[in-house]
Amino acid sequence: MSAPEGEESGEEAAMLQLPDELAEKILGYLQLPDVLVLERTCRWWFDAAVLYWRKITVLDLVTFLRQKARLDIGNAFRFDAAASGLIKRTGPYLKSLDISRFGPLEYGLRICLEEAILNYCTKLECLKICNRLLDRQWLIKLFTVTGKQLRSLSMSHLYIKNEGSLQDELLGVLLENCSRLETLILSDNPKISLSCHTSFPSSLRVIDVQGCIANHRHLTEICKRCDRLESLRITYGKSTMLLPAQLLNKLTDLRIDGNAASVLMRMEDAFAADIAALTHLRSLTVSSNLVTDGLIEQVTTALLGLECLSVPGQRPPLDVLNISTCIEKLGRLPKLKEVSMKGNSPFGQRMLLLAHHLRALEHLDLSFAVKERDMVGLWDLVKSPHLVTLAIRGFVPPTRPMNAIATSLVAQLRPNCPCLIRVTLW
Amino acid sequence: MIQLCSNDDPPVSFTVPRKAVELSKTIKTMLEDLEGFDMEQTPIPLPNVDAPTLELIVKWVEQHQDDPPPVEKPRVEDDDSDDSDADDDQEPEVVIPEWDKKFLPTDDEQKNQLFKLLNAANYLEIKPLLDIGCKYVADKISGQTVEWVRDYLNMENDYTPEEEAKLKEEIAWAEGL
Repeated sequence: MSAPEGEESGEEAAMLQLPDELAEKILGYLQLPDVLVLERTCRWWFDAAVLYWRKITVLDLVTFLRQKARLDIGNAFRFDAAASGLIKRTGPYLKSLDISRFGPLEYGLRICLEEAILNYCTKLECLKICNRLLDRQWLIKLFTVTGKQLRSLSMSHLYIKNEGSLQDELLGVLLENCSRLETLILSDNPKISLSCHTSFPSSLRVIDVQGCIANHRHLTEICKRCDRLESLRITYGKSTMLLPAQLLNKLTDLRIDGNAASVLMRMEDAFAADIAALTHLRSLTVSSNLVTDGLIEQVTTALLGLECLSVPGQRPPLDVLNISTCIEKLGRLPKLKEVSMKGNSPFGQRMLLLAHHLRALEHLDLSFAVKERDMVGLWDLVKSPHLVTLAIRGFVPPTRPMNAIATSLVAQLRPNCPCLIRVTLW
Repeated sequence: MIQLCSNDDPPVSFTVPRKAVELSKTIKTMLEDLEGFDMEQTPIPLPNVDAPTLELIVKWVEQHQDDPPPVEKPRVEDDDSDDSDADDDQEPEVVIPEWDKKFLPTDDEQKNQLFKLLNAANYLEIKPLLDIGCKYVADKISGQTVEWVRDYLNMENDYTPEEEAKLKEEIAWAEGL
């Protein structure tokens, strides 16, 4: 059968009418560079490529360009072109944008990128701008464009050009736009004292001011305004004490950081008064250098609803905590399912050997807290009836065959930990 | 047995086992809707499919009529491969079986037949055939130049030279990939 000329062009027409589902399927199998090639073939494919771009609703800009587009982001000009091109295409569909950690790029060109973000990213619900040095005016514009829909905002460690670390006054201006904000991460902004507390939206559920000089009085005001507050993350220091008990009883998650050993005793006293008020607390994180025998005693007698406990960090060698007693006392918490002692090496080995005291334990994270030599010949002594996952990152050097070791550990632990599914080594 | 008719004049008809023809969701639904009629006697006209394409479709469904129905795989949770979650927006991995590799009209001069086949598979809703066909086209395009892809897909360059230059500049960063 010979095809006449007319039918040939009919076929081309048929291909031009390629239904969207086919284009979408083909695009689904392609990598980013191939999609960019398709875009350049003709208008139809440029429009069809939207089917690819609109699937990207969560974008971590620097990581994406570095890994997926394998862009050498050392070249500031190319970075600006690439980043702005990407934002132009994905911006209208983005729900979550992470523009953190620009590193040396901070000093390069990024005019097109900043322009594109203002023009295209209008539907953001989640914005992360951490470890950045930014222009004050651009930041204000950004918040007038995106602020209204934002649910989650991270601004850790933020610097403003010619001003230094982010300050209360500018934070107040920015937050005025954010009437629906639920999560606000402000950690490591050492000039933030929260004097702009009147600008905090009452919709907030999560507030993180660790590493800020959050003032106790201001924080109290914020807690009064935000009656849906569930999670509070603070640094315990000179200007921050725990809050009035009546403000704490709704919290389900409390994270307390602190590095000064000198606050240790005061911490315990302050906490003692308030701990009984934390009636709804399900998750508690306390920096290891704030943990004492007294604190553990209070936690294990008052917080019977506690499900997660985390004590990260290497505590200074102070004689205020008996680790074995501490672990035994944790056995009093009937719902304690999740325990994390990341980097807390005094706990590592003993936590494993005494795990049977924690009868509800399902997830244990002892990453960087226990080493291979700590457990030689001891794995058979680990007993935990409900343990499902065990994370021990840093247990062996990364050069070792991780998967094989993990599998053999699971096999070795199974007799005494019948529910165990996974050991995570990396 | 079911009879299918192509859109040619005069129509070419093919007789296919019902089990095979039901790989097409479109026809399966039609047969279910027409339950009670004697479909063995009534040829089904396919206005969007010509004879050579229909022949290929019939070959394919006959070969695959005994395949187990595709299972919707639940997402495998795997913490060990955390770093690969950037690929979440990709279609699931499709492997083209050996028989299909030989079956697909893959010679470059046959590419229009391939596109007609894909369009027919889409019209007839034969998902597994669509999957492997699109995967094949995607693999073919992957790593090629703009001109090559344009030619392969029978596309007309409808950009003005200015637009083309602008577009090229805009994605110049991707050139060296």
